[in-house]
Amino acid sequence: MDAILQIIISGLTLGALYALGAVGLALTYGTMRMFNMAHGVFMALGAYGAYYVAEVLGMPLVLALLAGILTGGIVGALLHVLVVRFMLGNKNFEINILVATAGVGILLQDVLLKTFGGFPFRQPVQVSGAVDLLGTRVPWQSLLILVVAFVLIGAMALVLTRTRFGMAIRATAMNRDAARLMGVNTVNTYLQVLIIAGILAGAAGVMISSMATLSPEMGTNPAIRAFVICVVAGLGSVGGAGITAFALGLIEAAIQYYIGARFGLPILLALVVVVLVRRPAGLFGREEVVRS
Amino acid sequence: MADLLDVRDLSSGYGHIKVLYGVSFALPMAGVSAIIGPNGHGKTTLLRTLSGLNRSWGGKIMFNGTPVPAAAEARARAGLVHVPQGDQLFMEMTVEENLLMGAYSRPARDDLQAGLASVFDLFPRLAERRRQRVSSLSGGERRMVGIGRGMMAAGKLLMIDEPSLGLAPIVIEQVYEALTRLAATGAAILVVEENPSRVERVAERFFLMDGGRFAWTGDAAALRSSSDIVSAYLGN
Repeated sequence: MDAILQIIISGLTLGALYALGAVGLALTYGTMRMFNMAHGVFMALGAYGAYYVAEVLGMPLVLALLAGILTGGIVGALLHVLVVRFMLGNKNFEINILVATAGVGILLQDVLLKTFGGFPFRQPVQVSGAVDLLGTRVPWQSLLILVVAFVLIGAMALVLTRTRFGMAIRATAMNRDAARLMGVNTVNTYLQVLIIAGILAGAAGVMISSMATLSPEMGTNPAIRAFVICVVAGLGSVGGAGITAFALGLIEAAIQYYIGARFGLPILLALVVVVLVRRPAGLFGREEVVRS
Repeated sequence: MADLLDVRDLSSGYGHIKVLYGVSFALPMAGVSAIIGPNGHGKTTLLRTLSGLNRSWGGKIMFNGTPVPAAAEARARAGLVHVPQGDQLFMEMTVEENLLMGAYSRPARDDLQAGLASVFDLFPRLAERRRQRVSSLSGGERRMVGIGRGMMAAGKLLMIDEPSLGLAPIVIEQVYEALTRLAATGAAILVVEENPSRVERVAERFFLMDGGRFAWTGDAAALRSSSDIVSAYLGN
């Protein structure tokens, strides 16, 4: 019983981290068919942003957390304004943007390395200690991660389904030409989507670095997992990415407990391969149905 | 009275292939007009160029007395509404969400209930299906959502591309009955159809498109008296 509770808690924590990383990526792909290869560096930038505000400027941790989130949003906006905007009309947008964002990612990672050095800092934005919950020790940090993930992802879901602004984003994702015919400025929609994805990535970065350490390449592994989650969920399925993230987090925690920590990722990837063989469009992906 | 739409020498195409060769025509502030003619001669391209989905290669489009802006979304906000071929609905949204998206370009304060009511009045079937996802609807119901979504914009000109395309004859009748009722409200409508027989009773003026140009223009009476010309182009 105790073990199961442990597994659930660490699985949910992992899942929340994965979800923060994957949902933004899924939204970006779902709306604009753009795979953002710089997504992992967005996470690192968010983590360093929070670190800088807390450690160097000495501001309160809450502000530092917000700064990290904000950094992600700003970097997302800049990516749109400086790069994506000019490539939107391209015939081979999907592949071109993949290469372009990979380049941006390398560049930004080197900027981080030059600015902060390769030394793995400790993320100051975290809470220590644990609380007894149903007879299990639950670290406060786990609870913080869960709260941040639920608040941010919940807010995003509300915006997407309940507001005019979110409706325009979903409409653009479903049919860009039709959205334009409704009067939606889809270039702005893409800017908004990259800001949202950046915010989520920034938050993911702060939270991930609080469980490990800060380093310029810290986003690489989480980003790979986020990509995997998006593919398993079905490319572009935002809700599916969230659910898949939590499922994989729980499975990984169970594997780590029962089989061993180092088997977590390999077995997870094996499972992913099985899923994709059985369902090439992903768990929540739909086969394209054309009806006229 | 000034024309609602005044098109001068419009040309456009895809890649290196020119499709429209200097199309000129004008539409008054109200009434139904129809562009007819065989498939593959530029009717859809004309609508897409008018709404801004396709770039215009040359010529001038005046709408409501001013030159149209370049971007499709800006033209939609100016009241130039395009109901595209094949509906192009937001498939994972409900009927109601699709209709509300149609009103996106209207000021946020606008009361949309009246708009919804008139769409449901014209297409009662949509009222029953209002909370259903569009992807679960039949072809005819989707067409109704497409036209209803266009109505929701409350624009100045409603351009509908092939409202009968791919529908069963009885559904085509329903759609055209709705268009007739819509026309009776004094709306300005531009319909594209391959075959004039369906629009004959609804439209007041006809443009026959052939090879990217208007080969013949006239009113309903002229269409009946010159049926030989029209049938020469349409082959029936």
